[in-house]
Amino acid sequence: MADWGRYLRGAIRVAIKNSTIFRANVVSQLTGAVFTAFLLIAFWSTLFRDAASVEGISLNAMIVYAIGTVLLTVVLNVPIEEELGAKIRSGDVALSVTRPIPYPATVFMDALGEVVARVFIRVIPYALLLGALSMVLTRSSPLTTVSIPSFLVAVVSGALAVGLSSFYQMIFGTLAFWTAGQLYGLVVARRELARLTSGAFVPLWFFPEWAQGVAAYLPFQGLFHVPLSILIGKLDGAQAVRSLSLQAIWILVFFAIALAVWRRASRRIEVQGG
Amino acid sequence: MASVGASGPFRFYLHATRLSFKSRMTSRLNALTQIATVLLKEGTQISLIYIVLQRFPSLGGWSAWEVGLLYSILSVVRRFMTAFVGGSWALARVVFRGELDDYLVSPRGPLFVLNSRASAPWRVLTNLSIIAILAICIRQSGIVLDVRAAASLAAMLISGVAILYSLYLFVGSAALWAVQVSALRDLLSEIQEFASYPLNIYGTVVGAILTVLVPVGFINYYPAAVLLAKVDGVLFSQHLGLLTPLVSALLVASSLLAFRFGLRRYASASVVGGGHSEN
Repeated sequence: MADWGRYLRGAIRVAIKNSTIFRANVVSQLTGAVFTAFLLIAFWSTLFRDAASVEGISLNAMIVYAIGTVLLTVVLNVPIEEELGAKIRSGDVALSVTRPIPYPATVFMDALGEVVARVFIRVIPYALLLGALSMVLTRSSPLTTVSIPSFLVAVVSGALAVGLSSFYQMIFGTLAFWTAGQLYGLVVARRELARLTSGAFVPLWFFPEWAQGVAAYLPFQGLFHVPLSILIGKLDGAQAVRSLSLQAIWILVFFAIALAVWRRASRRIEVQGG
Repeated sequence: MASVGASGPFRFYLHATRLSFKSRMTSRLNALTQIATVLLKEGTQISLIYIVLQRFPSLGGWSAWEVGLLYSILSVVRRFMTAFVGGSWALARVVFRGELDDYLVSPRGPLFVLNSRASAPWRVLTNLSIIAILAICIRQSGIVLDVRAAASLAAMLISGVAILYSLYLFVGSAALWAVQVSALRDLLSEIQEFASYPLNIYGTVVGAILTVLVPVGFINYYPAAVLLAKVDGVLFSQHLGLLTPLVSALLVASSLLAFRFGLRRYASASVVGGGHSEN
């Protein structure tokens, strides 16, 4: 177990160095987050111009939701599939499986290290900056729609979303064993499936009722819709507990599938040369 | 095989795309999924636009079909760029992986070879879906597509491909200085998603940025305003759409200059290839 702790600390250190080595990219990431938030605030402000609230959501709550999507995207976009695909393509995976820690665990801890680094380097500074930006642009205080208890529960739900996304990506990444390391089509398919029904751009309350019903049976609402609905108080009490439980169940399901796929895939490892 | 290097540019382009096709067909599963994802992507974006328009019917004075027209013009441009001249889109990744050195030693010129290898003309078949959507939106928006309108639509689509190609070339050229520019590339993709909606809904400041600084407005918004002869709901002026070919020519020239300038100060980045995540 001590090995695992040491590995995770190392993964966080590597992730911090990787995240900050290209200064211009760090600036571009920040500029991108600010500009995206700016566009989202302008977009929703226009749509809410003629209504104090839509589906019980005020403009301020919608702006908090939109900024939340920008922040969550930072931690949910950890490229697990690409890393796995690259290792399978290059053959480095043969080296990785000889480590004392099981390879799927190292993949998860690498991703966790990346997430921890991103939270400190990007999410927290962005949250402060975008919070201030929203106050300037709306000339009000959107953040007052968030209570401390709902914020804390949303953080727990956000952490579950990271777990959900990680295991989901691991399943697709491991499929690279069957596709000669080529994953582009599969990755885009996965992203598109999640983009529509996760609430990443349009919250699910704005969907037609039948579509909300379909989305409720899918795991993707646990990525954006659940944590952000909890954050703005749209989901609370028993509903929030139910949604958190569903997130946890989907994590277990994806974990089991990821493990089963890995076991089958590991039999396909071939090593050429020496 | 020996004759390919000495043959004409068109033969070289065909040869490179044939090799690219074979390489992508290494995994049938991945290739088939790529075809499915084209339809999935269109479906997702159209569904999102539909949901927004159902809940908020007034979208800056643009009807549902008109917004559909905006999206389909942008999508056709995007699909044709990646099908025939995908080089600028791939440039940033090629630089980051340290693969540009291979292109620099080619007698054909790096950008031409990159365009040949990164293009996928066979995707024209999957592009038929978005062309059909564009045709439906044109019809439902009440545009009479006579010879003159068809010619101006074709000119605007070609100009749109040139504009998008140039924007990606600027981003790829930035990689010649900064090596890792994935955030810029992601931002450009994000901006295109917002450009599926009328620019006037974002207000004057954002509208000005998307007209002047990152002129995606000239890919679909202003050309659509011209085709629709739209007066209300047009930021600045609908006549800006007539400048689309000029804007595209200026952007192509300036992005090629930026690329050449970047090449002069470029030092191989192969030392960083492979070990870094792109996000």
